[in-house]
Amino acid sequence: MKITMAHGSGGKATSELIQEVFAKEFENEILNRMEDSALVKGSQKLAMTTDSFVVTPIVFPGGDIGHLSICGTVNDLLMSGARPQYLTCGFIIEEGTEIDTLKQIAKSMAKTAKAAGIMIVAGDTKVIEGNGGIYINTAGVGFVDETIDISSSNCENGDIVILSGNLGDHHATILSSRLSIENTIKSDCAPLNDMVENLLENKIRIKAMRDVTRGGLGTVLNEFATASSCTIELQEEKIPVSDQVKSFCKILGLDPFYMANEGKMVAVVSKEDSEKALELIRNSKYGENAAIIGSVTQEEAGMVFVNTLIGGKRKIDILYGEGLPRIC
Amino acid sequence: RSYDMKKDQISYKINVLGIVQGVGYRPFVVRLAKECNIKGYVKNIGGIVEISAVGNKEAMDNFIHRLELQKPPGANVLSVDKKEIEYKEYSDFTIYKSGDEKQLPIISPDLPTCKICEQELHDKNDRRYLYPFISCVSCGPRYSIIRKLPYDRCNVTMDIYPMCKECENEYSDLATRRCHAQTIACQECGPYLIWNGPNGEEEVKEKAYKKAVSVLKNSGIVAIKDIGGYHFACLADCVKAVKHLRQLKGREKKPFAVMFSDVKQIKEYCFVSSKEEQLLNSDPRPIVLLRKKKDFSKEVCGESLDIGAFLPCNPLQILLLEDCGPLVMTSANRSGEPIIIEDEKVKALKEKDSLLEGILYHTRQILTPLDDSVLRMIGNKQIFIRRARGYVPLPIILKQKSKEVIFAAGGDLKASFCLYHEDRAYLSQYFGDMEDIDVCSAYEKNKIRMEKLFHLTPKKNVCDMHPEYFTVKKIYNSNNQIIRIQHHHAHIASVIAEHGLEGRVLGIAFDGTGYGTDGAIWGGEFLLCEKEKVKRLGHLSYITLCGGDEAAKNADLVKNCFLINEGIESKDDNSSLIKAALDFKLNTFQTSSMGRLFDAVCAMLKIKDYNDFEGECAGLLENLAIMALEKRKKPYPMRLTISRENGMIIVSTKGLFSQIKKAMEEGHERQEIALGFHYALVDIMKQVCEIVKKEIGITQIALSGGVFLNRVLTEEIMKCLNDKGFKVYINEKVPIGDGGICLGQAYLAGLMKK
Ligand SMILES: [Fe+3]
Ligand SMILES: [Mg+2]
Ligand SMILES: [Zn+2]
Ligand SMILES: [Zn+2]
Repeated sequence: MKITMAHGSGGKATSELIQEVFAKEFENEILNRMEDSALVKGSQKLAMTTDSFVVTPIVFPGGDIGHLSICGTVNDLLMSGARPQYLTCGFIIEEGTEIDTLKQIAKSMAKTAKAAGIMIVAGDTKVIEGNGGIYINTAGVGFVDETIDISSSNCENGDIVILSGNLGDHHATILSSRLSIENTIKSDCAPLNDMVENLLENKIRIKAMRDVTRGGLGTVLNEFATASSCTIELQEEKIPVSDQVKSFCKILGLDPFYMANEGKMVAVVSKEDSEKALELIRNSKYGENAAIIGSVTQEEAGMVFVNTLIGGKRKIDILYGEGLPRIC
Repeated sequence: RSYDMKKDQISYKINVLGIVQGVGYRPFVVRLAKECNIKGYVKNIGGIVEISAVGNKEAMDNFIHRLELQKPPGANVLSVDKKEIEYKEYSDFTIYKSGDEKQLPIISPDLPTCKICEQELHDKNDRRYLYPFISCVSCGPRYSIIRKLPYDRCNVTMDIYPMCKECENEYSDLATRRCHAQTIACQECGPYLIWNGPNGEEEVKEKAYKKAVSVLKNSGIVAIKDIGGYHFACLADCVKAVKHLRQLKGREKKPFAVMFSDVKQIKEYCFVSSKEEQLLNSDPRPIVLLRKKKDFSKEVCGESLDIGAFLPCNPLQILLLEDCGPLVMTSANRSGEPIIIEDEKVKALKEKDSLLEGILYHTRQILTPLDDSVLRMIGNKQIFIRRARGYVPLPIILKQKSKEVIFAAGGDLKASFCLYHEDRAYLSQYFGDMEDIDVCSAYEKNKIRMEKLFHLTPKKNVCDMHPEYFTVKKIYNSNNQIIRIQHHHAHIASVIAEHGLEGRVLGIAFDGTGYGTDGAIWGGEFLLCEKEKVKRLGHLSYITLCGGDEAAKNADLVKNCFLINEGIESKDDNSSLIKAALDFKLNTFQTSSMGRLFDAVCAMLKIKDYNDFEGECAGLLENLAIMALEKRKKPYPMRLTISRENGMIIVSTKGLFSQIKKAMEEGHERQEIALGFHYALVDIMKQVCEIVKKEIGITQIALSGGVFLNRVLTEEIMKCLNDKGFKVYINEKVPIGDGGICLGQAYLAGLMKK
């Protein structure tokens, strides 16, 4: 069965859809009350975030838009050192969408939310004219310890930069799907609770931390470098990228430094903490390929560069647009 | 006018511009004048040598001719300006005392060891016997060690060595070759060699030299401090050593240059024409690409048909080459980085990499990095591939003067900039690709250095149109007026500037990549240029490529795009991915690049499908064409077609790959096909020139862009166009590739009103 405009009328079809697709999957005591707003407990410093998800295709190797919409918001909360608690979701569904697809998405949202320890406490559904597309907005709330101070402006000379795993998997997966290229690349889409909790529990002093999503590692590190007025120096040979992604990117002229990921984070920690932090990340879920990829130096402020395999020093600028060839 | 035509006597005022002071130029003129039976005087005025000459017509012609051709060692004549003046009578030819005019800022490039110093170096009885820093007033380092003008002992990095009594005497004795030789030194007082061995242990002087020689002879790699920076050296005929050197340089794939002790030794390995011999022996002692006769191992110059050969330019190199024979001599750096000039950096590198066994250095500081210059003779023209040591900072003298000081940023690859004032365009040395941050900072530091040295403060900045060039982004930090010049327009303008061409010129600019005014990537362009104006008359047909910068390296990728364009099926692994990327417009761009066409044809012929270094594929294709010519093979007939789109001349590549495919299927040799491709390009260029000549009456043709480093293409087109009555010009003073575009930019900015 497919979504029709009637499913968005607010009437019987709507409530049937909600009951059958969402309530079944998202069930919990707060949501079950079906009030106009969710009443939740909270007494600490709060972290709040929101994000909208518009990926095509909506189902892809390694995940789907539902999984993605939970991971994205959960990871954003985690990056400020928060423990994710509550989440709301809004669906904008185009007519023509298969209800089965919707069910699959709701299922994966529920599963991911559970894994990430976040409770879906409110939701909304709208139907628009169109051709089977789905757009999801999620907003999340998390609790943060007063003592935590994670900020992109905290990087200092000598600090170490750790990346939690291979770059480019998500981006390469989505592109492969869109280009109808068959390969075995899978999205890295994942919630990073385990990793962040391990770091926090073990009192690793995290100075700056970001999930490496749209804009890629290059963009994140440039934000760190600018906010902290420091130079970040990377070692190309240390940057983890799978061979398959590497060759896929190369021929398309894509730079893993600028490719999107959905289950990767980069953390800047003091040198003393770095080995332990790496160990902790590696022993966490989704962190097995983590690596120390560089360090903070003070040579020239606000810049990121990479020591390349052949020995040069390439500047990693912020991304300007689709790369025009510069080489003669 | 009433010339007093006393018998058949004529009078000339001659101004000689260049490095003509402090090098014994005036005595040279006196000698010349006396030999030619010329009377008059010579004097220094503010950086120029002024000559007043009187004689009969024959004597005068002879005198001027010789003045243009000859010079004392160390001198460098940039221009000889002459005009006839009213007759004056002189009884003799003498030196007049110079005025106190301000020195015009012309600084000598570094000079090679002169003949006399070389003799002394080998003379057991000379007090500088085997002294590796011997020099005199006509030789030795100059630009690389000068802090500021005037060129005095206290302003060069020799000032840390106080002169000994004997040197002092020579320095102040008008009768010696070392009178006021700022680089004067000897074993007693001057710089000396230091050896820094595998464990950091040091030896000095003779012992240091011997250590280095023994490591070299034992197949080791030594870093040697030379004029413009450090070199890595090893035996050219030791495969293991050269392999190690490639590793040390960061898996470098480019051919290495080889230094030989003399031309005789070069002739064992290469064919050397008399022009090439002259070039090898010229003051800059550049690397000259010479056709191989006999090869070292493949490790040295790979598949290249040429050896980049050069001669020693300083006493240390003279001695080392005599003791060790041909040495691979390459800039000390990891590939992509600038040549190292700091002792500490080399030491750090040695710490990190045990492949570097030792360092032979000294404590005289090098102030600016200067790579070895690289040239190639094409026809009878000397074409610059890289312009650096030995040429910089000599200005290019332009007909057209600029009142304002102009800074031209150049391009991003093979970056070099230009400061232009009055009739002088001072080009910086080659720096490298600006993507490397050390290259970037060398570029910036030297911009400041040159501005200070020559007292030039730019008021106008000019740069390329590419939105992502680092050279462009940098320029926007200044408050000066900014002018942006299209890449290929700058290429052609550089030819017009150096030849002082006037009127309309048809420019053919063939290269790899330049940002076009329509947002496409240009590179196969026919431009009508006159003064600062330009009109695109034609170009290579556009093709859509994908892969961004990767397309500049990956010839197979480009070939696939051409095949898709022609609708030819391909069974390549990547063809479906490339097709999808093109359909999806992922990282795609339109291009008329001639460089990419060469890459694609190279990949099509299955010669090589990836450029491990710039221009590799095009070079390999050229090699086949050269071999076809040498073996007198017939070119496989191939053709490109011309069509008109709204008046624009479109040189279409469509059908070319079907022709190549057919030729291969018919079993034609790759050499024949490669030559056929070259001839097809020559033919199409000729056709375009004839169309333009017919339609708008242009007979001046300017060639520029890296593609014209191709010997077959360039020699053929020049011959062909000359035969058809065209006047053909090409870059001879600045690099033909992107290293030369700063001159074109500067020249055009000078023509543009506010
Ligand atoms: Fe160019
Ligand atoms: Mg986000
Ligand atoms: Zn000398
Ligand atoms: Zn002395």
